[in-house]
Amino acid sequence: MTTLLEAPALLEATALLEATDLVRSHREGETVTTVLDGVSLTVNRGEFVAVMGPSGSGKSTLLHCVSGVDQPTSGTVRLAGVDLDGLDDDGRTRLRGERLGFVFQDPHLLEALTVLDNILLPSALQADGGGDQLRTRALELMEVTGLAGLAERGVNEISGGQKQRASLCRALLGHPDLLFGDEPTAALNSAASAEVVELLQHFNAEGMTMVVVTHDARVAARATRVLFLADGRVVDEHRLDHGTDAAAREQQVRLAMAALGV
Amino acid sequence: MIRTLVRKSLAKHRLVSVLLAGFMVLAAALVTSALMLTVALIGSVDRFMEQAHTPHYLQMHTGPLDRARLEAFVRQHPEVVAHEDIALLNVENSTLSFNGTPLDGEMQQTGLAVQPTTMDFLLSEAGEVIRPQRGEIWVPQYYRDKYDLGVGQTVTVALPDGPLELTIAGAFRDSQMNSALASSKRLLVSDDDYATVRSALGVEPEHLLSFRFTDPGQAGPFEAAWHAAGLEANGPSLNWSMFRVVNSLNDAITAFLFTVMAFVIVLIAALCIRYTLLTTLEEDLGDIGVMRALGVRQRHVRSIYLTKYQVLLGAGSVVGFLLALVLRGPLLAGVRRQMGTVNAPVMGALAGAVGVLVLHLVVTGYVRRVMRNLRRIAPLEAMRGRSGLVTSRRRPRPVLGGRTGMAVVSRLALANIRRSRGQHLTLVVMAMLITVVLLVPFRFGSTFRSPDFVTHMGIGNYDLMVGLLNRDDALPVGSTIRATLADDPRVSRVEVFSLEVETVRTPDGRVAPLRIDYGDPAAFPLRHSQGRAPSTPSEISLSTLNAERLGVTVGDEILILDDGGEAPMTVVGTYQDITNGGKTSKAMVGPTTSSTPGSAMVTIALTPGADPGEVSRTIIDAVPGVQVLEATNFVSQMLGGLISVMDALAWLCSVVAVAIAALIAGLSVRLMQVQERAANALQTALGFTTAHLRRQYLVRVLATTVLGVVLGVVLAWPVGMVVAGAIFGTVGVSGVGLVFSPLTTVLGCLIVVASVALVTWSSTGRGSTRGLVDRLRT
Repeated sequence: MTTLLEAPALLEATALLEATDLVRSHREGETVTTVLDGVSLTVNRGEFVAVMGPSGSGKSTLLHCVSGVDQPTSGTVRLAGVDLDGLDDDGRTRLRGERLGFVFQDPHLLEALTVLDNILLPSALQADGGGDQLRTRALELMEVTGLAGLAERGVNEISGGQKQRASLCRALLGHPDLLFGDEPTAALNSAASAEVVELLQHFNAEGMTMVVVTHDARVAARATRVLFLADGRVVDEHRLDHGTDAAAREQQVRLAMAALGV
Repeated sequence: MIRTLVRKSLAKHRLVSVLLAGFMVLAAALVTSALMLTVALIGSVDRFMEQAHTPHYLQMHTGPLDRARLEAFVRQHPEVVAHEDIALLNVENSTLSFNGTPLDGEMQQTGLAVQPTTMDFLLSEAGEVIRPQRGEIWVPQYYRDKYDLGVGQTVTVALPDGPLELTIAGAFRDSQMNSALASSKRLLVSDDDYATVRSALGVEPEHLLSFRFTDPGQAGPFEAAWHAAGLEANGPSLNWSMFRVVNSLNDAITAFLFTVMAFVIVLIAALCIRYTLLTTLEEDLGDIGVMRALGVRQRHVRSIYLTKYQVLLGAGSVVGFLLALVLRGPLLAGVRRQMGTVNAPVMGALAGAVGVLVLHLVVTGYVRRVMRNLRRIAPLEAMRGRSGLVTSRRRPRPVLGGRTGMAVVSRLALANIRRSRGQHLTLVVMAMLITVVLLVPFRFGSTFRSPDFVTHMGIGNYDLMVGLLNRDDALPVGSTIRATLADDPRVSRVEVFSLEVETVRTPDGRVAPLRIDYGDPAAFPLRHSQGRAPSTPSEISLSTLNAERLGVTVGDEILILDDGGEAPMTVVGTYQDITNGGKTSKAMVGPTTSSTPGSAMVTIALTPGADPGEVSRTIIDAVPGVQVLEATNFVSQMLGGLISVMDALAWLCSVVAVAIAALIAGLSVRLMQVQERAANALQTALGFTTAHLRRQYLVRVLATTVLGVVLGVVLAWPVGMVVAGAIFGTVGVSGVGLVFSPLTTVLGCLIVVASVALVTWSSTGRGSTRGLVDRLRT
C-alpha cells in the first residue's frame, strides 16, 4: 500500500488528546441520567485506542465529548493543544473541520454529491486554494481503499462497504491530527467489515492517531490500547502487544470482554 | 386517541395552524360574499329596472324635433308599447352650487328634469315614484355620495334675474344615469321650478326619446329603422342591456375581485398545507415508524393527520361563512340602496354555504392527495428517521472540481437544488407568481397616470379644454379664445374643433347621422387602433363604435350628404372613444353650414411650467361664463375611482405578495431543514459552521427566487396585457400597452428578494448543532 499520510514526528510520545474527569449528564424533568461519570483519557500521537463496553456504557458519548461534537457537563478536554472549553460552537466546528477526521456507523454520504465530491467536501471547504492537489490525493486515497473507478458514481450506486471506505477517505483527506471512529464496522457485513479494519490498521501504521468506539473484537485487536467502559466509567484498560499475531490479540480482547461481561 | 394526538399536533404547530385556519376563514368569507353579491345582483338589477320602467331604447337628441313624424314612425312599429319624450334641461355646471359651493369642477353634465309619466321613473330609496313639491329638489345618489349632500341642504341655480334656491328633499335612484360611467346626471325638480328655470335661461331641453317594447331585444332592429328613416339623432343612443351593465358593473367587479382573491388565498393555503404537512410527516417520522411497526394500519395513521386538517379547515370554513353573513350588511348596502331590494337573501346565503362546502371539499381533497406520501414511508426506515419522501434517482453531477473555501458551500447548494428539483421548482413558481401579482397592479397605476393614456380614449393629450356645447356662438367664441391665447407665452398650442352632426350614407346604402369633430387631428393626435388620423380633407377616422354602427372598415368610403350634394370621405382609421357615448369621428375641414346648433371644443396645450389655473382665468376673463376643464381633473374625474381602486389594490397586492413570499420561504426552509437534519448534522460534524449552512440555504432560496422573479418580470407582460384588456375594456378602451416603470419593477423585485433573504437568514441562524448527537448515531 502507498504511504499517503504525511504527519511529522508521528511517534513522538506527546499527548494529542487529554480529557480529564469528564462528566456528561442529561436532565429530563426531575430525573438526571449520568452517562459519563468522571472519565479521564490521554491519547498520544500515533496511538490507536479502541473504546469498548456494553450498550449504554457511555462509549459514543465519550467520543462525542472528546471530539467537540458534544459538550461535557464538567471536566476538560484538550485537543491538539487547544482547550475545547474555551471555544464556542463555531470554534469547535472549525477545529473539527481543520484538525479531526470522523468515521461514523452510518457513512452519512450526501446524496446530492458524487462519491469523489463527498470525499472532497470537508477538506475543500477548509482549504484555501490547491483544489487540484486535493483532488489528486483523493483519487489516490480511493485507489488505496479499493474505490478506483467509482469517483463519478452516485452514493446510491455503491455498496455499504464502499460507502464506509469512502467516508474513511473523506476523514483522512485533510491530514487530520486525530481520526475518530464511532462503530465504523457495525453496519457492514463481515467481508466489508474486514476490509475497513485492514484499512484502519494500515493508516495507523502510517502514523494516524485514532480513537475508535467499537463492539467488534476484530477491530479492537488492531488497536494499541483498549479501554473498557461500564456505567460511564473506565473499568479496564489493556495494552496490546503488536509483537503477537492478530488472532492472539483478538483472543486477548475477547477474554477481557468476557471478564467484564461485555 | 386520535383526538389527543390531533390536539397535541395543533398545539405543537400553533402558528401554522392559526395561519391555515386564518387563510380558510378569509377564503370562505370571500367565496360566500362573492356568491351572495352575485345572487343579490342577478335578480335585483332586473327587478329595479322593471320597477323604474327603464327604457329599452333611448335616443338623445338636441335641436328641433318633428313630433308628427315621430308619432307616425311609432305607429308603424307595433312593438313599441310606450314612448315618451323626456326632457332634460342641461345647465352649465357653473350656474349650479350645492350649499354655496359652485359645481365648476364637475365633469358630469348636469340637467334639471321632471318626473317622467310613463317610464324611466326616478325612484325614492323606498321605491316610490317621487313627486317633488315646488321649492324641492332631489339629487341622484351619485351626487349625494360625492358631495355628501343631505336632506334640508340647498341647491342654488344662478338665473339672470336672481338665484333660485331649492331644498334637497332626498336622493333618488336613477336606473339610467346614476353610474359614474354615464356622462350626465339629472336633478329632479317640480314642474313649476322646471318651467321657471327654462324660461329664465331661455334654453331648449335635450330630448331623451325613450321607448319600451314588448321585448327589450327589439331595440337593435328599431334603432336601425330609426336611422334608416332619418329621424332626429343628434346625440348618442343607448339601450336596455347597456343600462343593465352600467347598473351592475361596480358590484360585478367587486364579486369578480372577491372570487379571484379567494382563489389566490386557496392556492396559498394549499402551498402552506403542502409544506406544513410534509414537515410534520418528517418531524413525526419516528412516531409514524413506531405506530406502523406496532401494527397500526396506514389508514389509521392517515386519519390522525386528516382529522387535524379537517378540524382546522372545517373550523375556518364555518367561521368564514358566518363572518360573511355577519358582514353582509355593508356588502349588500350598495345593492340595496341602488336597487331598492336585495334579491333572495336566503338563496344568497345558501349559495354561499354550497360554495364554502365545495371549497372545503377541494382543500381537504388536496390534503388527502398530499397524504398519499405516507404510503411511501416504510416503518423501519421511518424509525431510523428516513422518510424517503425526498428521493432522487438522478445521478449527481460532479460539482466541486478544484474549488475550495466558500465556493464549496455554493456548489453544494447548487447540487442540492439539482437533487430536489421539484421542491425548488415550487419556489421558482411561487416567486414568479408573486412578482406578477406585485408588478401588474402597479403597472396599471402607471398606465392610468401616463399622459398618453387618454389618447386611447378619444381624448387628445391637451392640458385645458373648453366645451362650447349647443350654443349658436360656439365657433365665434372658440375663435375669440384662440385669439386671446395666440401670443400667450404660457400656451404652446390652441385648436378649435367644430362639432357637427352630419348625415352620411354608408357603402351599403344606409343613411345615418354621424357626429364629426372638424379640426386638425394632428394637433392633439389620438391613438388609432387601426389605420391613422386623416391627413387630407377627404379623409375621416371613426370611433370603433361608429365604425361598427355604420358597418365600415378602414379603406371604405362614406358619403356626407349636404344640401343635396354628396361629399365622399375615405375611412382611414378607427380609434377607441369614451366621449359622447363612444360615437364620434374626426375630419380636417368641415362644411360651413349646419342645421344643428353649433357646438365646439377648444383644446389647449401649455408650455412646461405654466399654471393651468392662471390660463383658465385668462380665458374666463375673455369669455365670461365658459367652463374650462383641466385635463388632469378630466382624467381623475372620469377614471379617479378606477385609479384609486387600482392603487389600493396595488398596495394591498404588494403587501400580501411580500408577506406570502416571506411565509412560503420560511415554510420551505423549515421543511428543507427538517428533511436534511442528518445531512446538516453530518456537515456540522465535518466542520461546516452555522454561517456555512446558512449560506447554503441562502444560495438555494435566493437562486430559485431570483430565477422566479426574473421569469415573473417576463410573465408580467402577457399577464398584464390580458388583465389590461379585461379592465380597460370596462371603460371602453382596448389595445392599451401597460406602462413599464423600471423603478417600480426594480424596487418590487428587490423587496421580494430581500424579504425572502431576510426570512431565510433569520430561520437558519440557530441550533445548527441541536440534535447533532442523535442524528449522528443513526
